[in-house]
Amino acid sequence: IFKISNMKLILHNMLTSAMIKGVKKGYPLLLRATKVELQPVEFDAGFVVHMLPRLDWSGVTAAVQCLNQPDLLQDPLPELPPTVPDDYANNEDFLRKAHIALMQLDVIEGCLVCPETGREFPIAKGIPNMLINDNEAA
Amino acid sequence: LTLQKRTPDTNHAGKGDFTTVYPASEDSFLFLDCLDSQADYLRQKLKPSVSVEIGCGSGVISAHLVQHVLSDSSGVSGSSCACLCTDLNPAAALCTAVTCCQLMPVASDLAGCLRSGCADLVLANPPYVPTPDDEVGTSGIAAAWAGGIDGRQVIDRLLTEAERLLRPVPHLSAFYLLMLRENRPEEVALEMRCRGFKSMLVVERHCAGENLSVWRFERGGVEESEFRVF
Repeated sequence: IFKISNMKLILHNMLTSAMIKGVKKGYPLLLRATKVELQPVEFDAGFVVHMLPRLDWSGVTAAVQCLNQPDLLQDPLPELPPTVPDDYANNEDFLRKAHIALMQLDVIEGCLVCPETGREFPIAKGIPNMLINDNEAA
Repeated sequence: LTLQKRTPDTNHAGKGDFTTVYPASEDSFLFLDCLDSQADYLRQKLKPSVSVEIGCGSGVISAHLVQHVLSDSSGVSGSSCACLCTDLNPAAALCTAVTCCQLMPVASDLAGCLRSGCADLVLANPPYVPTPDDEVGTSGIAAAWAGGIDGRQVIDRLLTEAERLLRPVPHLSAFYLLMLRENRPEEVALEMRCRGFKSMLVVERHCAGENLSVWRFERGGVEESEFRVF
C-alpha cells in the first residue's frame, strides 16, 4: 500500500491563481472539496509557531469555512479565531486547533477556484493541478 | 533499532503510472551530495520554514531534504519545514507524493501557482541538456531534460522565478541550482550577482560525459560584523 500525501491547508495557503492573465491577487483560492479526511498527525507546536507568521490567516479560516459542508467530514472542524492571538506562541489550545486545520485535513478530491475569474483547478488523488493553457497565461 | 536509508527509494519512477517521470539519476545524486554537504548551513543558518522544489520529478531531492538533511539527529521525521514541490507533469507530482508522504506536490508550470516571497529555500534540478527549442516543455519524459539552446531556456526562467519566490531582504534565503558546463554556469552566477545574490559553487562532478555543478545563490541575512540593537 502506497502512503500518499494529500493536499493540506498549509499548501492551499501558498497557492495563487496570479499566473492567469488579468488576475491581480489570486488568493485565497476558494476550496470546493468533495472528499476530505481527517488524517491524524502528531502535534508539533514548534512547526505551527514557525509557520504562522508566513501564513495568510484569513485564508486559513476561509478554507476551513469552505470545508464546513454537511456530510463532508465525520469529525468536527477546529474552531479558529478570526485573527491569530498575540500570545499564540504559548497558547497550546490555539496551536492545537491551528495544527489540525493546517496539517490534518486531507483534501483528496475537489477543486480550487480563482477568486477573480472563477477558473477551476481540479484536485485529484490529493494533488492540485494548477496548469493553465497558453492563452490563459499572463 | 531501525535502519536509516540514506537515499530515498524512487524505484516506482520510470515505470507503470510513472513511466514519464524521470527516475533518480547521477545528476539527482549530485544534488543529494550537495544538500548533505550543506547540512550545517541548512539546519543552523538558513533553518527554512518553507522550501520549494521546482521540477521535482520523482521527488527524490525534496524527500532527501526532509528525511535526511533537515530531520533531527534521532532520525525522527518532522522537520519544521513545509516542503512544496512543483512539476509540469502531473504524473511526477503524484510520483512525488508516493516517494514521500511529507512532501506537498502540485502540478504547475515552474512555480507560477505559488505566492511571491513565500520561500526560504528554492531547489531546482532543471532540464539542462542543450536541445532544439521546440523540445522544451513538451508532454512526456523529454521535458525532464530538454533545455533548448545551450540548455538555458528553462534555467533562465528559473532565475526570475526563484528571485520572486524567495523572501525579500533582509530575510536570509537561498536557491540551489544544478547546471551543466554547456549552460555557462559562471555566466548564470554573474547574472545572479547582478540580481543581488551571493554566488557559490557547492559541488562539481564529471558523470557519464557530463560536467555537472550545483550552485548556491544566497540573499539577505545579517552580516557577522553587524551589531543589532533590539
